[in-house]
Amino acid sequence: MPEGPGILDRKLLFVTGKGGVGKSTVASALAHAMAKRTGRVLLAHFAQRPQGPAARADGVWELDVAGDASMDEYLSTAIPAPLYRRVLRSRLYRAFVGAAPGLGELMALGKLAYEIRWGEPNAPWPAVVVDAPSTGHALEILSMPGAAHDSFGALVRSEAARLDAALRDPARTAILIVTTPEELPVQEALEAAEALGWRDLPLGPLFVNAVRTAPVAASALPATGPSAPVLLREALGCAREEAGWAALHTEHLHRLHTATGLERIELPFLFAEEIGAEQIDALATTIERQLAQQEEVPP
Amino acid sequence: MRPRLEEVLGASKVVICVGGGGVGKTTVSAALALSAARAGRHALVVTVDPARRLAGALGLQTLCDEPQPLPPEALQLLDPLAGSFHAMMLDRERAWARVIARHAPTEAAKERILGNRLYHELSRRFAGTHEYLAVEELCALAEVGTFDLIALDTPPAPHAFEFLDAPERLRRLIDRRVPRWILEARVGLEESPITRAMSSVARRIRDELERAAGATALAEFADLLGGMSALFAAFSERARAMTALLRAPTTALVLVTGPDARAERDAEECLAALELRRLSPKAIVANRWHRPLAEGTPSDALAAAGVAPELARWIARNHADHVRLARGHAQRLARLEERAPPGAAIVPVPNLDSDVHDVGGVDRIAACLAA
Repeated sequence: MPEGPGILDRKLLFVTGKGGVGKSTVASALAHAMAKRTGRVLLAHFAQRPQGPAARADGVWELDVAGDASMDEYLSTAIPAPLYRRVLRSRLYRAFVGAAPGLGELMALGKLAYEIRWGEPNAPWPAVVVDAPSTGHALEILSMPGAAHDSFGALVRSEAARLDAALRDPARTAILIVTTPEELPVQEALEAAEALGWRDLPLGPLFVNAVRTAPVAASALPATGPSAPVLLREALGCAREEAGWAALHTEHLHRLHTATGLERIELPFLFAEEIGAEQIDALATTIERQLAQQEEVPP
Repeated sequence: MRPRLEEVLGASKVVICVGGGGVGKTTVSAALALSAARAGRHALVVTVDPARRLAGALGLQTLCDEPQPLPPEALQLLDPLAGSFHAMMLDRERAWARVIARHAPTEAAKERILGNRLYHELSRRFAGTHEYLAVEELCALAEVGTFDLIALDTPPAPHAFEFLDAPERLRRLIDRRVPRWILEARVGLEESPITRAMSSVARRIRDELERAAGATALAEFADLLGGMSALFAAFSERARAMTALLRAPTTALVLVTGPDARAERDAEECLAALELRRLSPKAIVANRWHRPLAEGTPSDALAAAGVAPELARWIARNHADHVRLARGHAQRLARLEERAPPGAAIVPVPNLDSDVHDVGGVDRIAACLAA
């Protein structure tokens, strides 16, 4: 395992991955597992409009953060009150924020880091799990503190430098990439892992979601003729399909392993129509179990 | 009576695929272009961030962002095309430089922008510029007229309207002549007739922003706005042209969606965003559908067929999972039929039993789209 405390004992988990791989589900399960330890955890989604935080029954508080609103909020603390409204209304300010939409997202991330007081004890929130946008966008956000440091000055710069230091610190932060064991997501995950390595950001284990398994290979299943009953034909068809996916998934898991050498957390494919509290709890338990196994192994 | 996708495609010169992340927009865009090429047209697919193997299969290994013909080894895998098929991948930095060069009135105006440090940060690092570029390039390609069908794979924007609003947002951004004088006063530094003329409030706003963001950043921003303002006339005309293209009768918005709950929510959000802008998709591609299954348990049939009990139990359980999944997908498809605007073609594409990342896979999807 990489240096630093166990993943579930860190202060800021930044969860990303290709669109549609189940980032939000994994982030939710991670927050659930952390809340079992710390009592309460903030789960932040990047959204269009800010909302919350709203409490879930399991100690997880869900919060929607939005770039523009976070920038406004930051300025409200940085600028004297009488002037604040005028600044926000000024065309200059709107143009500035509009020109660099990433600036708002930087501030949103800064706001979340502030909620946990950059990982200091006695912070209002012991930990935050960030359900970040998909990989490309998330990499941009993660490189923003560095970019902002080069491009901006004064308050934004010192804020960015603090955030950059917190993000790079494996004692406080882990960046978690979620993927499914399929061609496109795996490729994007590998590229993201490489890019994060360059930037020296603390990458945690890869989360491989929706893994399909089968006890036998498709070729070991009995063949059916056209005269076989429909149910038998379809049941064996589904079994062959599942075995086919399982073989493909094994291949991609292998590819992930040889390409990165990173530890993996494997989560099963769920046939559930909607992911509810019950599924989140089960996924959290699976994550806890696999993390404990990996983190126990002596170096 | 809903139109068929073939009719929609046949009546369109530009097809724009929109939808949430991970639903297969890139492959569907490529498949739409391939269908058009099959029908004898000169088709181009423009993509932003294709998977490497698909890019390779389409002849896009290099970072060349010009239309590329299909490589011969890919063509070999296909039945002969009546038309032609090209693919192109947008490179953000080069595309921006092209946009600036296209619209700058003079060489000096171009150099001023390209030399601005903030411009480089904005074009390279900051989020949200892909959307504008995609539409801009589409517009330029449509004007040149080399291709009679262009399929655009839109960037994975978190929300559909970022893409739809891109032209208007850029136009608004550049129309900032008032703040520019506030800033230019600062670039020249110290007292000038302009700074003296500034109201005390404007001055304090400027000072506070400067305190927050730094004098250099503001000066660079002012310089960039100043440089861009030379392009204002061209940009605003282009923004109008882009808006017109998005709404042209020969442009088809195609919503791509998947079979799961998240894709359904994304599709709903997308439809609402389109309606808000009085736009309507001409087709909806429902990707990765589970084929319908008969209800019931196969246990007896498995026993009769002599399948070992342990394996039979897994097969039965797996079958029950698939039946539930297929039922869920069918219900979702029915909801989509009800929800979708009446004029939109609805095309379910079954879940292929493997990943699609080569020309053969794109061809199989094209066949499903044509069915």
